[in-house]
Amino acid sequence: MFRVVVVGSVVLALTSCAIVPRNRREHLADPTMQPNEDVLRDRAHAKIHTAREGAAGGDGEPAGGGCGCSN
Amino acid sequence: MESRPEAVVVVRTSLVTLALLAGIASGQPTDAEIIGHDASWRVDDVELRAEYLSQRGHGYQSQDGPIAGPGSEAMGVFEPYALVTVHQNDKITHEITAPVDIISAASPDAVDATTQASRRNESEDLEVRSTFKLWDHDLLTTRVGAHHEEPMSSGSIGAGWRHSLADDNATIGANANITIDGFDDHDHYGDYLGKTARETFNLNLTGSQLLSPTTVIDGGYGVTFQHGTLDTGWNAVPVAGGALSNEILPSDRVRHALSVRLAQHVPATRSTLKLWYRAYLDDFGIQAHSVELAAYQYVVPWLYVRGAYRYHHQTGADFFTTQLPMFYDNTALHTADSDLAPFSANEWSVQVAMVRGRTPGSLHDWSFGAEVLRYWRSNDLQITVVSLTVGRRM
Repeated sequence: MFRVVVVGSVVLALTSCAIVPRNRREHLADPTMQPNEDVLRDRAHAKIHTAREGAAGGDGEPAGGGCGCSN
Repeated sequence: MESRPEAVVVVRTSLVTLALLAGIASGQPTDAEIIGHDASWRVDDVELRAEYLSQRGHGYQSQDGPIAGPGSEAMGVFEPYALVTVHQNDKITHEITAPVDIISAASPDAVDATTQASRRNESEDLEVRSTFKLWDHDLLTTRVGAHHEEPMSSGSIGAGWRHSLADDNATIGANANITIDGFDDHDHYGDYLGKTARETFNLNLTGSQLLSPTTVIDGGYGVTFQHGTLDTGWNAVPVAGGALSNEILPSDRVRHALSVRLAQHVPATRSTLKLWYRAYLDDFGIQAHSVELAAYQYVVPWLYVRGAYRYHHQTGADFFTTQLPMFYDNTALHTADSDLAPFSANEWSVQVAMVRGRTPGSLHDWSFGAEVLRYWRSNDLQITVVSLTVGRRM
């Protein structure tokens, strides 16, 4: 499954490099389309998962701190 | 001659009008003031979030129950957050985050014999993330953080770089982080064993790509190496016959995580959909898959409702057990920590949020939001979170 995701992501990235001109990015600029449209909510959710799931952390954010091996 | 007074009136009126226009114009910001160099420090934005988390459930690592477990993992957490965005100049901004946890009755167990850490505890964090615009297409980011709670303190630093390509149609980036935790070591009887530490090194590669005027994809890969005391000293492991053993974990851990997210805006219905997937594996033997679908729906241009569902499944650590045999090897790895067990987790959340800058009238620069979240695991853990947020653009 891990390999499928890696290969799929690379193929998608290589085959989908459409150029969207700046004057057609109105919808991309919508607040709900931003990757971090609510920073505090995302951090609070991440903290819930990091403290309770042994498989959390390490994806784009530093892992560590908190209690025990789950971090 | 009769026209002279009229001419004087016209001239006076014109001069007054010109003077007024000049005065008004001088009160307006110039182009240079709008788009020119701005070297002044100022607070751009302040956002506050207050949440209460209620947890119920049981885990075999907890001693708050029968000897053979599982014990209670009940706790309540009040957690206020603050996020302040500071503009230093037109190339540098800072985001300062300060969450504070006030925890009550967090899995009472042996550690209460020597500390208050699992009965009532407060933890404080401070993190500063800075963004430096190096050139038109390159951003440098740094982060400095500190954490403190009764049995431990930690510090972290990190730096990253992001480059935009093809007129900002795509970005690539990398960041690296180091975290050092120093804490009191206890055994599962609560006896103090001295100071100990662990170190974490983390490297992430990220990217994003516009796929259409309404579609964007982003993702990343992260690898994390941890070294040192990885176990929670006071965690207990039940032993057949009614005894308890301590938790023994490796001193090293390598973790890999790969995530991808697709975001689609639907202008016709004023909706946005986001689909996120994450794959994870580590050398404890844990493999995990997580998927989340979030839907945003505008009710009016300045107010939307967000509903999300997340599913997480993980295999357990190779050395996870809920009971050791009566005659066991006390040098072999073992843990009963329910966070390292095989389980599935479900989560849903509903949020109502106002969009700052679109809010009508005197609330134009304000935002308000509320969220309810419910999380439950297949191995007996349930969480309910209620939160309120308020923000103001300065």
